[in-house]
Amino acid sequence: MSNRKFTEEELVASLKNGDQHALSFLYDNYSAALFGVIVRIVESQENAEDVLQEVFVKIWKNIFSYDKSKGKLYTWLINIARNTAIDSLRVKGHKIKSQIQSLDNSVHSINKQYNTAIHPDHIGLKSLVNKMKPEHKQLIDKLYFEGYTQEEAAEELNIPLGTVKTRARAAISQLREIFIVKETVK
Amino acid sequence: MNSKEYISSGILESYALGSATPVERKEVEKYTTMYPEIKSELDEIEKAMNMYTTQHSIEPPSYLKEKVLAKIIGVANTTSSNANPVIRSINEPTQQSKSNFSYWSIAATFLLLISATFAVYFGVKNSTLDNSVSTLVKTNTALSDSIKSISSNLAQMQNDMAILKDPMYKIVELKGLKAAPEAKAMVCWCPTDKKVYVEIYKLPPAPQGMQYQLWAIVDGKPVSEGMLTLGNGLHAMKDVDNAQAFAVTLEKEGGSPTPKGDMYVMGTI
Repeated sequence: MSNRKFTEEELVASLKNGDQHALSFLYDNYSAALFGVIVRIVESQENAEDVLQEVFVKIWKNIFSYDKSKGKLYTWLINIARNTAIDSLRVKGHKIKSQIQSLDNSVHSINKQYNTAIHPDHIGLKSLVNKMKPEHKQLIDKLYFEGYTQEEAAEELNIPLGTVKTRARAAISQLREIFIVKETVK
Repeated sequence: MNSKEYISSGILESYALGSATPVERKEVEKYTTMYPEIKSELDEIEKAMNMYTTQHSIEPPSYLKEKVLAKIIGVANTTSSNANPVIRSINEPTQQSKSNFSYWSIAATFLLLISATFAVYFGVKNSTLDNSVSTLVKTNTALSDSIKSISSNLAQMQNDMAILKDPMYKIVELKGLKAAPEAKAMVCWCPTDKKVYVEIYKLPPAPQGMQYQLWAIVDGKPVSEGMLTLGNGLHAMKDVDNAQAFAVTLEKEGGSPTPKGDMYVMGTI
């Protein structure tokens, strides 16, 4: 029973019904992705675990407000994780901008604490992602994982606001190409 | 509005990266419902970002799942709002197994009733049997007692009969005297082995502190034969040699060396 599989639509419907199988399935299939996002943002194991709990409670409470016409479930879930993680830093009085510690270092150190479970299918993709231009990756990580506003990113990276916008678009275009390549290779 | 220009403005990427301003967000959400090409572009961007996110997956510690689920169940249970879904347990039976459950519960109830009926029936029966057994035990004890008593009486009677039938014994009838004319007793005496037995047929009850005493008259002198005890049958008394008569007097309790009280019965050989 617990191995039951859900399509995305079934999953949402079942969650709205309060089905614990669905909740379990949701956790099994999305917690690693959400936790990865959270760890990147909060940089502490204890906080990351607390935030993950909070995220699942939020998902549970707000599943009724999820509207599939507005986007994929995955996007919605990731946004909740991102926002919750960023909020938790603000609550704790962190200044996002003053995070001096380099992102790569912090993620590296946290990754050591967990058994990072990279799906074998993702390994090739990961190396492709690593082929991204460093300035593209850096900007996306600042905006996406660290919740910087474009203004903050511009200031932090010492580039004009207009460059932030064009670079972000270029970075995502590159990502899309990488994934298209990956799908073609498949 | 030119959707191509909108797409190339980078605002969709900002939206997907979460760095769009609230005003921009509202605008994007509005245009995606109006322009399918904007919607599909945003979908592609989000798909790319989702793939990117997946690359950063970190498996949470295994203990966290239970914690998270427990917390959600706790939240669900403390929330009274109907808008929130009620947690259904993984083990909770589905609708079909619910009806199975009621089938089984009916069957179980039925079996329970049957077994309870048997339990009561056998319980009652058992206690009845217990009562019967204890009655039988009582009866048996009573019978056994009366058999003991009968056999004891029979032994006494056989003993008495043996004496009475024995030609060696002299039967002496003791008749009532002035003090109690109705009184009557009997003595059996064997001159050869000197044994003496007495049976009282009738004597007035001895007053408090007094007791009847049997005497043998030997050569004109009374010799104490012992104190009389009540009861049926022959009672053995002291051996005596060469007696001519027997008599019973009323003496003080414990007897006296020589007769002092009234004589009640007497018989000569």
